[in-house]
Amino acid sequence: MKRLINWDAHIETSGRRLGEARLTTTRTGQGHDELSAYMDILSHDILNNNQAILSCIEFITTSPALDERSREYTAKAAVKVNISTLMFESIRELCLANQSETPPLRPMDLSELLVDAVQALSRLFPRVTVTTSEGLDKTAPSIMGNQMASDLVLMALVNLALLDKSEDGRIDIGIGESGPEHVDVLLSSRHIRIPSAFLEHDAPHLTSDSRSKMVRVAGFLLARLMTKALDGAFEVRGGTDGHPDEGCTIRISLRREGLQ
Amino acid sequence: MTTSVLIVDDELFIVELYRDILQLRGYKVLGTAFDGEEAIRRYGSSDEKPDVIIMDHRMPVMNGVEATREILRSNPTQKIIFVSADVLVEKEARDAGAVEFLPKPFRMDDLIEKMERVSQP
Repeated sequence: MKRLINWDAHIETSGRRLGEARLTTTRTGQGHDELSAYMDILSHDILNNNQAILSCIEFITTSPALDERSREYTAKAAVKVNISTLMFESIRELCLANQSETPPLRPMDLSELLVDAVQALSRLFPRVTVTTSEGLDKTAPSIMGNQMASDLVLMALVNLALLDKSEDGRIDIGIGESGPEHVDVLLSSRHIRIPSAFLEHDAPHLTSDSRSKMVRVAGFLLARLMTKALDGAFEVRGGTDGHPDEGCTIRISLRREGLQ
Repeated sequence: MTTSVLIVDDELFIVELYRDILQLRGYKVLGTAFDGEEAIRRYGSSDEKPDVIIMDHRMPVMNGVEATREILRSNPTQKIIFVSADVLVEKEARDAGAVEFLPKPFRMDDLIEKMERVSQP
């Protein structure tokens, strides 16, 4: 027997679902707007507080009466403030990217980006030596990026430096290629052991147990999210070239210039 | 000649810090203001105009961009350095006439370098 189709009921159901979908979209949009507004207000206050702390530290360190130990601690406090600023800026950039308000991608000289990141790292961690592969400062190809590209490389370097407890920290930087569309930035250190929770899980799939072990890798998490937002890839593996059982290597793949 | 400065920021603690550090470094702080409207009032009523104005953006009553436009309307040669935690406002600040933009947080050395550069005759 031929089945009669109740078109009215179908139309009614479809209409209801469409209405629900619109409502969900509206609520999601409102949620994003709300989050964006909170981030905006929070970032202003936090960065202003960081400004006040840094200016205070600068004021204190101008005093000739300050002893060497106190000077050392105030310098370390300044480093912590600068790292928190970098992390906060990164979170803000990610929020903007989620809102599709991120600054447009433009060609960026990767050599210049790396030199700036290394200089910034050296100001924060003078004890860490950074070596770059030969000619890297002149020959690296251009990538498509924005401020987020610079910040994510620095964020990854900072996290490596934070994990390195050795007296003479050393990070090696190289360039590689994993395909025609991307350029790889390779960061490696023989002293660092990456927490296994980070190697095994992606943040959204963390259990509370693995999250409790996901310590001192916030910079890597942020760098990974920022790389994804730039249509790239971020991988961390144990071992370095020629030393598979020592240290770790980070591969940051960024889009090569000239590709759509 | 000593470079003179007007400091505009809504946070008292930051204003005091800028003032103390700049005075220690030999700058003459002509005055301070806690919002854009107060800055315009102080600027207009002062006989001695500052070489440089350090202008924050987010402030009650009147923001930094509005105050910058207003001050430059009365004196288009006034040098204004914009300082803000909101990097997205840089274009608006420069369009309003600010000669420099410094994102917060910054080092005072960076601010002083910009002050020196813009106050050159």
